[in-house]
Amino acid sequence: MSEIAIVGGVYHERCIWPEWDHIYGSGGRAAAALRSHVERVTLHTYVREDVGVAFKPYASNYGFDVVTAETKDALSFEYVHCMSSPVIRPPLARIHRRPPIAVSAEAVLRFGMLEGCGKVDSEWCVYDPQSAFSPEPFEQNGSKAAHLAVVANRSEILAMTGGDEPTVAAQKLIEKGAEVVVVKSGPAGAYVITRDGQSHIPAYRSNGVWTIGSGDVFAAIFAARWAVHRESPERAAELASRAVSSYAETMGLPSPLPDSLLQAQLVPASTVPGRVYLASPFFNLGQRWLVDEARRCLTELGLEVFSPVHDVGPGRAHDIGPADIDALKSCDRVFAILDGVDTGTVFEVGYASSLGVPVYALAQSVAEENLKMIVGTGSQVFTDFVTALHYTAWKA
Amino acid sequence: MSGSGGGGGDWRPVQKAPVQEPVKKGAGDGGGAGVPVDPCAISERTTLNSVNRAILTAVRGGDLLDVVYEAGPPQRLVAQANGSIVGSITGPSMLQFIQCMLNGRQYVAEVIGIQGGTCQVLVRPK
Repeated sequence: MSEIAIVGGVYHERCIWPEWDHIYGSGGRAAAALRSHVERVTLHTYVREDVGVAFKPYASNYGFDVVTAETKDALSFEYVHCMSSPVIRPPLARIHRRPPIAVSAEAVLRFGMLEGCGKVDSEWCVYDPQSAFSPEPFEQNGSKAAHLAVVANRSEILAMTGGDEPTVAAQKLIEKGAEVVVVKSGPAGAYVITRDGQSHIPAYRSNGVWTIGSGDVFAAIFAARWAVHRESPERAAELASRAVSSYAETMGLPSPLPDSLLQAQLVPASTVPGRVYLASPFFNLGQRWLVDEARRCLTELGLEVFSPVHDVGPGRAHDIGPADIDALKSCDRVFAILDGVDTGTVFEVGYASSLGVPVYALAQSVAEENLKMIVGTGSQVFTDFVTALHYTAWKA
Repeated sequence: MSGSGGGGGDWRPVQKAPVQEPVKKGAGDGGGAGVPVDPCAISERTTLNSVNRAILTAVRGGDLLDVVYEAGPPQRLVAQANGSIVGSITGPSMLQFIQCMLNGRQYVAEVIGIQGGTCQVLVRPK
């Protein structure tokens, strides 16, 4: 019987758009994700009693066991959209630290946790430190593994080793004893680094883009395939990346099985470098907030952003108009926020379309009739903010 | 997960309470023990996710969409109009709905409102 132990957090997650209100956390989500790949899954976690009761249906629905260590806190992550910075409750400084959870098993998936840590004794272990601030080196708490894979994003890898080049930092982890290092690089995919070399695994496009916990799904499927089924790290990472694409699109778990993942006709996705014109009204707090969010997210996705409110600012019509149009001509795509049907934004969309510049638009509550010309002339219109941002980055 | 820390009070889970339904009078109904609560008599107002805009154009307020469980993997709940998926249901009671559907219960998603590409529904027993 295939078996894995997971040690990781079980947290409440709420997102306003798209709507999401669940108890998963890294540990809970990983257990749900890989349950289809591994016959017996045991999740070790800290939970307060009432959260444990509320989490029971999740464990029962997906069919995994839960071993709990008591804690005083119920942790909650609240997002406006899935690329927003979450508000964490209780505040980080108020979270009580608990003694480590000791886990001894042949195959273990260990996540970093806010309220403590997992102390692992295993043959095969996948470690995802899960900390943007101070990722703990695997062995720091006395954890041991004969075969260790570190799966972490670029900033975590850098924070664990120092330096400014993730693949060089990953080599340092290899020298310190890790057998495999997987550097998750968002829309750029992932890099699998071993003593024998380095390979790139693409991220894949999905029709919808739901990103909360996508890294957990990656770590989970990588652990199932590499640590439990002993497949090569490259194949494990390829399946993990495809599982992430499925999760991003469906928001559903567990992850599809390998045959289904490999049969899916997926298109590799990565940010096409370029300059995006951010067309949007910015005349009230809500509009201005959304412009700032769009600008931040597009920059995070690797694009150069021209934003009229940031880059030209207020002024007279005869100054603003030519400056914005000059900038529009220098961009290779437009991200437009059509809610409110602002005349300036609609003008910019039309101008871009006439130049053959692709337009990606967010329109959550715009009447169909108002979108007729925009859709009819080839612009892509989305109802989900983060999906629209990713399509803009992919220039898809 | 990472992010800016710092909201106010602690979060506490809220359990979805079933709506108490009157029990039909029948043979053997001796009374006295109180009204049994049906754990699947639940409803939830939610906004559909991953909406297919093309399918949504044919949907109107008041329409009853079929709530369909897709076993997957991945497993999910979707709202369908004439066999086409309008969007997915990911509200907090999703797992409870799934459990009840696996036990034979059926639900519908009543369209409460459509605004642009958003579709708000009330998921309730059929």
